[in-house]
Amino acid sequence: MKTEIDNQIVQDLMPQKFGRPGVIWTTILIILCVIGFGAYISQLRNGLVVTAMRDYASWGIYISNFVFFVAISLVGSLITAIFRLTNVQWRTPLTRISEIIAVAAIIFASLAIIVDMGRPDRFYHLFLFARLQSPIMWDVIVITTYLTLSVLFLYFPLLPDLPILIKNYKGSKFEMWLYKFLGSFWKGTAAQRLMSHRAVKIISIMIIPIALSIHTVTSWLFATTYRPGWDSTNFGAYFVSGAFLVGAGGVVVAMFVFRKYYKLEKYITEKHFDHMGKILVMLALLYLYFNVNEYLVPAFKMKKAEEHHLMSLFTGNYSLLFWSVILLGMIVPVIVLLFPKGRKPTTMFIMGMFVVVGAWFKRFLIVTPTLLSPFLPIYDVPESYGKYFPTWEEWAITIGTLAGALLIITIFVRLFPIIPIHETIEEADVKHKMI
Amino acid sequence: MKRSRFFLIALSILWIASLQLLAQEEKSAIKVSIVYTQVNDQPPILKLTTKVKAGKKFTPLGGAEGSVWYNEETKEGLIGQFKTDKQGLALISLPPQLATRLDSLSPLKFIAAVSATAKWDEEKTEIEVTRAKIELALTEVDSVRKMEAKVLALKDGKWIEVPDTEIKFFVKRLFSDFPVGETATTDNVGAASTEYKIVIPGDLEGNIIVGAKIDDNETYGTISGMKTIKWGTPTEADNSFYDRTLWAARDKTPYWLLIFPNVIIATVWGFIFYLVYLIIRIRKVGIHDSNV
Amino acid sequence: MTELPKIVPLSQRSRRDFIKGALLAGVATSCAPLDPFTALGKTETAASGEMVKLLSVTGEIIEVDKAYLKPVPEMPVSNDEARKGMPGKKFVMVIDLAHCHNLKKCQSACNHAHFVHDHQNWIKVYPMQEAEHTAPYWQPTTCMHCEDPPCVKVCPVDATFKRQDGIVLIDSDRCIGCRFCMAACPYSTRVFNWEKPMLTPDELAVQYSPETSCPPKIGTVSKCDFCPDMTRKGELPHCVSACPNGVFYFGDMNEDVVTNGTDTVRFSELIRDRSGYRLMEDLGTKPSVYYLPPVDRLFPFEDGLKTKEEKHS
Repeated sequence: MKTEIDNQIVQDLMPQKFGRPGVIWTTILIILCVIGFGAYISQLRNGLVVTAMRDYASWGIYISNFVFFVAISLVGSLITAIFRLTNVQWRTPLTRISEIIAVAAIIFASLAIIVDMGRPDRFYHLFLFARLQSPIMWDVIVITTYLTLSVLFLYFPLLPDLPILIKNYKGSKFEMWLYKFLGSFWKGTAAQRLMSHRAVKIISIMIIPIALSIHTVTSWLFATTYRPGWDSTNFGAYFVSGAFLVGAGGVVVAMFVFRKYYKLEKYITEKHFDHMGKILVMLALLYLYFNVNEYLVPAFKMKKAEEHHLMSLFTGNYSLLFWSVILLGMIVPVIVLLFPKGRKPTTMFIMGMFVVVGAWFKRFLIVTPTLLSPFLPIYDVPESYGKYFPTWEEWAITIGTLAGALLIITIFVRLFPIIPIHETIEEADVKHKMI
Repeated sequence: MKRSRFFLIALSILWIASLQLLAQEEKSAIKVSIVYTQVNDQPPILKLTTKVKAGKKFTPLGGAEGSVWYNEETKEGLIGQFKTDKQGLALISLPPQLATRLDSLSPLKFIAAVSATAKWDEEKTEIEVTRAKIELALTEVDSVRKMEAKVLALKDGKWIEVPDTEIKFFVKRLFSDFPVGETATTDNVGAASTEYKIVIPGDLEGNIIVGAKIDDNETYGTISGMKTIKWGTPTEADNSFYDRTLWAARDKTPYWLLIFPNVIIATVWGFIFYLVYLIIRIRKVGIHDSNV
Repeated sequence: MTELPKIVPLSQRSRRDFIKGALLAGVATSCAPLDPFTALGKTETAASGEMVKLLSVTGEIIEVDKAYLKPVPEMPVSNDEARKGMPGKKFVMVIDLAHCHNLKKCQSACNHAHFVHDHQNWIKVYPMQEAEHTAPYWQPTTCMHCEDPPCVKVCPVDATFKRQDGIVLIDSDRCIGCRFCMAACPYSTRVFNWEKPMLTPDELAVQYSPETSCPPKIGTVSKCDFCPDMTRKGELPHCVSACPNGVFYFGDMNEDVVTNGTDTVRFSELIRDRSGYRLMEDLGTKPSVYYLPPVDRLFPFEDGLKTKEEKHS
């Protein structure tokens, strides 16, 4: 009986070949990546003038895209580490999903920031001439550390699954080689399991402060300047809470897609959506709380430097975007998810999309409107300098990075089980023993 | 027949010539001037200024090329060639060999000519300068500081006093001369003086350079005599550049930023290396087990 | 007459700088060099007998009579020197708002000297009006060369730096184009070279130094540099000389004297008597540019609007 259940689990969770939708999806992603790459070549040849960024709006969607990637990468620590440490029972199907989102996001955060550099040919200057006083340097250090830790956090729980794959998977020679290279030495002995558990415990503890650090340090790229909208003592907590929200939203979207496509209804159950829905409500309320602090308090005072910025968000050029993001990205999900019916998978997916897309535009609203409300008047410059709307190259490159991150996730899911097989078997055994 | 053909040819030549004349662009008027300057006993410098007429006013002309001669426009008299910068200025120092020769000569005649180009015709100017020098004496009696200057000119091989000449006293600063007292006029023995009452910063020891000058005089040019003296207040050296601050260069990171972040980074990466080590050990155990 | 190579005493310049300078001796830099006269005519120079040890182009030590030494064209200083600056000096600028007429002569002189185009002005002349009932005035704004510069603090690669003479410069060979300094500067004084700068071959051939800031390079940040190449020669920055109304005063605060080319005054007295102030003092950046309030104006504000129209017609 036990082996039957185990085998069933293995069969259900093995990586599956792409069906038609999978191939179409991957092809679209590849095409988007290629278009983005082509646009980047154009940018390398002509300079950043191909973007709409100019001397006032000197940071645009490249930077907000970077912040978005860093934000969504926090999900790795949220689900995997925090849930592990607090012994949340239903976390098992979600841990690998969140980890691969984190790894893909942090890789493309690095690429997104290189895309924004005026002289990417001088990238090595960051290492040769590193200046520790600069917040950018802190960001480089923390992101590298977090990437390494996330990869390790993905790898250690993957180890027990590899022998199962080696034994059961009938795939290509390359896949076999890959599994053997990565984990043929795992025998499941007591010694190995001890070391693996210790490693996972260490990472779970370490990765939380580091994950909090990456987004706090990224927020300091803005908070260490004098500009209205950025000159806030609140930015670290504000960004971290936003990151948790968008990470949770991302996991919900991924949960739904994998569940539907790979027919994992038995593992990612409606209960999971219910739980995640409640968490999403809590995180959205928390982020709303920080938003109220960030906007209501300065608006109460209406300091001269901040007036132009705040009014451009509340009633000016960015008002439509601002209120849509608050409404659709935060308030509507909260209301919908408060109801049990709202926490059904399909509704959750839609709300998750709202949260993620809203978060992407929210990052834009944090970056560019402040730059267009400088202390001194925008003057003695061409008229176009007072506005910002991204060019097709910027869109292509940005969408290319997003497509690239999704591509990494897609390829990973194609090669490895998206739900940890070994842990699922262990849990089933425990349940079976208890029955 | 022959006469009419000849007439036709002559007419066409005249026609072409007149066309050429008409096609010639109108050339702008330019001005060139020389000022003879000398500080103490240093080699004199000739300051050349070129201006071009733009509309109603003359504006500085850059890129004008020309030559300067001493006394006569010959090979022997050629001092050098110049090209004015964007402000229309060029400085030519008299070569040492000529300068030493000039010590005994006065008055000196200098000729400058700007070469003709497509935009302007050749323009010449000449000046005649009587060699002059200023002897500067600085006295301090009963904490009253005085600057006394005597202007002497070289006429017929003898240094004679120069009366009735405007002379200015100043403290030399980096970009300009800070005036001391009012502009004075030399008396009948060529002397002028002013009281020095200024409190001004000097270098670390309080040294300043003070002087007296005749500015842009028609006969003598611009002559100044300067001396260094401890009449300034000593300034303290500012070593804040070498402090460890947030805005300093990477080699001067503040200690707290060097120590704490590096300790944290070292600890975290220490753990990461330990984790990698665990992977290696897991691998070893697995291989060992399978071999057993 | 023997055409001697242009040689300089070894102690004054590093050999590398000299070789570069020798190669470029024929190229005029646009940052106002003193142009030397060339051949010494046909007259023979008499040897003075005093010999000097020098380093020739080929790297040998030779002895030459001092009388044969000639002035050399200006060479930019080395990168290390450019990062250290001139010791014992603290450059300061005072801008007299009472005399500004929005002629923008400062802007054109600066742009011309640094190969800067009109859409990237380093000096911007703003029409300012603090409040509804306060008087409008024209405010020329340069880089403030702050004593506590936020831009220098955030640069990750030491591409922008503060020197001991107070000047903040940019090293366009080091800059990676992250534009963090542009976000950090509250005075909006930095500009970015988004595209390949449109330069003539002569301008491109100029040897780059952070002190001349030319030629500008694509993908790097630029800004007003207080013309350190001019101040090393004891000459005033271009904007100071160009203003016909004497709006800009410049000088060394350690000497307590500033000049606008015509008037030389005590800096401390000027600030005290005319009630000088600095921009955005409350941010704590401690700028090196002081402003004299627009009191007893020479021109009404509206006159400046006319020049603006003339420029754009």
